[in-house]
Amino acid sequence: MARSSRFASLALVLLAACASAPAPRESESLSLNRQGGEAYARGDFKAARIAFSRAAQIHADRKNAEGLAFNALSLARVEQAAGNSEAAQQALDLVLASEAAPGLRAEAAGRKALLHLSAGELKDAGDWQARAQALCGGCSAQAAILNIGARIELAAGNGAAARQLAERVLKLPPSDDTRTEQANARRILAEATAPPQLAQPAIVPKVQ
Amino acid sequence: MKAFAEQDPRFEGLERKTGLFLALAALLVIGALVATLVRQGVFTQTTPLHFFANTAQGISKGMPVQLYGFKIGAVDAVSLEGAGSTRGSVQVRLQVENEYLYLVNRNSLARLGKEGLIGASVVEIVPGPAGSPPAEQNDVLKFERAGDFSTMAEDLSAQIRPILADLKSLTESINRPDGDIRQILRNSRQASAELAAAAREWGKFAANADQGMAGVLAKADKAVDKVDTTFAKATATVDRLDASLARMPELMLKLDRTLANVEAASADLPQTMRDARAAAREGRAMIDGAKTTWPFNTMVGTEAPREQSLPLNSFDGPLKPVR
Repeated sequence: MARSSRFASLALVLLAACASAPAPRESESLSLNRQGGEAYARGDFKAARIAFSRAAQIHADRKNAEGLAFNALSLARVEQAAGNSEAAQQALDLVLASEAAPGLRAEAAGRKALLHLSAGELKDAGDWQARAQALCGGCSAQAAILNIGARIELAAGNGAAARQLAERVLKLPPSDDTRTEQANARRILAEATAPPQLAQPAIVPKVQ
Repeated sequence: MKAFAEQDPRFEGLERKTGLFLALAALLVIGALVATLVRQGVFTQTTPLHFFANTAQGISKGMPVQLYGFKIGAVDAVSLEGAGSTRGSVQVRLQVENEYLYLVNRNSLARLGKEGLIGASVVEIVPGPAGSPPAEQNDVLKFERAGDFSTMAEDLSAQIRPILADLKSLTESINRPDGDIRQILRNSRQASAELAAAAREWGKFAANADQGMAGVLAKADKAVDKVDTTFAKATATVDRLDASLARMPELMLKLDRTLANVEAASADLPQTMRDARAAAREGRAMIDGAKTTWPFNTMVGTEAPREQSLPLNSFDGPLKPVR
């Protein structure tokens, strides 16, 4: 009797565990999103691309704009890191065409500005940066978007405007979202203040 | 006569002598008469000129006529006109010597004036504008009466009269006990007294200020003494600072060695940091896994895990893949 009751209890527990587990598809996209992040952190862009693409597809099928935006943004970053600007632009266009939150679309516009900046297309970069700033308002990517603007101004030779934007970043309240960008703002300020012959191109951060 | 002559020889030729005397006397009388007539201008050729006046006052026969201060003629006749357009006016006839007539023209003015302020009255001819035709016999000149002394006195009287009236009222005002002048004088006297009192007060104030200034100066002297002392102390401090600075190279050397030690010690830090970060990541993965696994997910009660996007970094760009 005691053994049978113990078995019944174990069966109940297992049933309850199964009932409280996330839905299979949702769990899959979450897992894929995490796997993609880990692959990107390892520098395995191929695996990251596959994981983020599959997760984005799942959300696209379910018409989940926010989930699609998360994974498409990550995919764009991976493609950018891999040097595939065209693919990155396409992923970002998905986000911008979606009904995702303005903060996520602001991030997409900001990354498009970065892509144009890397290509030396300063006018397009400025347009996308302005759009990102308008969409963002006080979003978590505000500091990054301001710094992108500062970099564009710096590239255009407007050191004063670059300094002004970087100083705005430094005046934002410090948080996990702004700490890295405040360091970037100091780099921009140093670059904008340094004489032209001493100015070095900004250091490209390495993935660990 | 002869008998007298026989008796006295002085009577000889008396008739002849008497006749001679009478003839001489007659000559003298005639000469005097001629001289008088010459002087009267009887033998001078003159030209009559006329002017009309409202009144004959001040005009008399024989009155001299002058031009530029020279006598050139005289008033010959003064008559009252009884008919014609000049009825009721006084006609005056002048006799102007011919030798001066060319200086008088038809537009000349005959002005009745005086020689000096209270001298004799004269008729003065004021020539008209140049180019006017010369005067001829019986021409009529314009006439005006210059202001004489009485007229001037009347004018002066008319001007002085209001001044005298003002002076009178002023005097009355001064004499009135409640008048403005008396009031002003009283106020001035009072103000003078107050000024004197104020001057005395100022004198006292200045004396006090002198005393106060002396006190301030004494304090300032003391302050300057203190500053001197402070400077002396500061000089000593600076000397000590110099000594300390002299030891700076030694201290810098020690600091340099210390920094080298720190640098050597921190050389191992990156590896330690990497290890710690990996351990933290693994720990976080374990905790996240536990949090999503029954039964911990029911105990923790945190929000369900969410998907995330890779963060946007303003320096994002192409990266070299690690493998």
